[in-house]
Amino acid sequence: MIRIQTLIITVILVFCQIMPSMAAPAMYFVDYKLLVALHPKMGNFDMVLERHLRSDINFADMDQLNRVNLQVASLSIQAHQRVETLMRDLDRVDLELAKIEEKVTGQISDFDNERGQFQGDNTRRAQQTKIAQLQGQRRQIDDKIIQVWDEVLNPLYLSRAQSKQITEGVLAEIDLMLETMARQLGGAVIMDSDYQAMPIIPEKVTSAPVVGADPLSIRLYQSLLNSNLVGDVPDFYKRDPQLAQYASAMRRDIEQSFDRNIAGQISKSPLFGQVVRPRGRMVLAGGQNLDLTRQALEQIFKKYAVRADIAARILALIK
Amino acid sequence: MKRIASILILLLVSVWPAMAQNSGFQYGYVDGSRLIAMHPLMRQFDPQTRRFVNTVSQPLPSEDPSEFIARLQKLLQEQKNLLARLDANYADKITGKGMAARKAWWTFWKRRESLRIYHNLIQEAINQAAIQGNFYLNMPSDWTLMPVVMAISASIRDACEYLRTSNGLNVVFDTSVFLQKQPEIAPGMLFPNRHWQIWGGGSINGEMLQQTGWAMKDCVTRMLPDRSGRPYVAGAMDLNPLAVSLLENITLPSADLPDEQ
Repeated sequence: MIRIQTLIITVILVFCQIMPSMAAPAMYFVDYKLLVALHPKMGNFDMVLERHLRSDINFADMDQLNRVNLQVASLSIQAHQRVETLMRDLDRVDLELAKIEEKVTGQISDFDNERGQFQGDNTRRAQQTKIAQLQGQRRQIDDKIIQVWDEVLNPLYLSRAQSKQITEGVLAEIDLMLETMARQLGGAVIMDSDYQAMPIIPEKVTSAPVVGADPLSIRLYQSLLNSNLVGDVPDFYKRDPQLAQYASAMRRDIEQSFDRNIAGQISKSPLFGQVVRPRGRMVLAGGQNLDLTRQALEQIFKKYAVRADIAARILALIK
Repeated sequence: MKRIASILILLLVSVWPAMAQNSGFQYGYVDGSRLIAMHPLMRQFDPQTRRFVNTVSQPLPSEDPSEFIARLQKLLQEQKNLLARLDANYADKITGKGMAARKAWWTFWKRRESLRIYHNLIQEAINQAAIQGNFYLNMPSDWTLMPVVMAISASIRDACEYLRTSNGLNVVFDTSVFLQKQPEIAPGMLFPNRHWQIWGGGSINGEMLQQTGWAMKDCVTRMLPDRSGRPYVAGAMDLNPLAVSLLENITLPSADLPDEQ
């Protein structure tokens, strides 16, 4: 009795284990950018400055807001002075850069056969080094100017480094959630729906026959589809005992010829890529239930207790 | 007690196949274009002629065939020396039956195969130059590219197949066959912070959601460039770092295998 019970349990356990992989599709899609954009932690992210608004400021409190604005105004005055100095440095570097570039473009040199190089090669190399050096200085000054203006908005916004850390955390959280969903779906793979298959189209067709330029070749496929020749030979081959001995050889010839012609048609398939090119779709049929964006967002909204009416409005727009 | 023990054993047996897959994934992905670009033979690719230098596909507009042959003979000898040194260094010295030894032997064998292919490509170029003489100075047929292309794709296929089996994966995808869709309006151009309107309970529509998404994607790509270009977001193992190091191990034209082997 115990043995029978054990056997039944084994069968059930094994079935339960293979069931998800048998039933579930292997590939799902998600609109990843929407998961990031609609994540509550990105709700106060400013996409122009790429920084989060500080969460310790009550934007409804006008007194606090005025205090912050005064701070920003005061920092802005200091910043103007610092930026002015930096702009003068930038002008100096630009002038120097323009002078050297003018020299470089104006040089026309002959080949020095004895030395095996163009005349003035060494000078040009030194000039290129100087140009690279000045461009490096220019980038440094640019970065400093950005940093000065960044500091002006510190009373209102988190720093870029802090924002980057939050964004990385959000991405890691979404990835973990999707990995869990993938496992629950029996080890499925989840793709970003923003990607499509790259159509591989031949740049040019160098060998004949070319579809569209060879009516006979097109007609051939039509006649192959309608033919009743495969596996059969004309009746008189079967009736005549002398001809019957050739019937099998003839059948083989017909079949080989059919296969050859079909192979010819298959070899033209890349040419039909032009027809499907604008679509470039990953899934050609089915797949309506493969998009997990809504399901994933629901989980995020639930975790962060997003107001039900807001969550419902957003979710209603996810197809 | 006996019954509980048998049920526990059954549970273990039932869960075992899932545990045996060490990565926990069924799928993996690599950037095929990146692997092609890093193959040592690609360093011989001349973008101007679109042919591989020092192989039979190379046009020789200015070089005298005899000089060309002499130069390649020298290269051929170097390849022979490399092969001999590789054999002397490792052929009889990789012992043991464990996983590490098996991997070391596989890496050695594939490196040897790769060196042999370089050797054959040079030999074939010498043969053709000797037969064709000055005629060979014209652009050789497109088909002369095939042996090089096949050598590159075979190395990549070997590396991917090794990674597939050693990680218990069913399929390894190539991410370089995907294009990223482009937004209709450049992100951030019109209303970059529309999500504030959404969270404030303002009116929204599907198009607005998409614009918000694209603007956010644009920001994330700038802030975290490493995070962009990921067609597979979950359920697949990123094999790129492993594939890059494995491909280097099996294709570098050197007689030394990496120390970790």
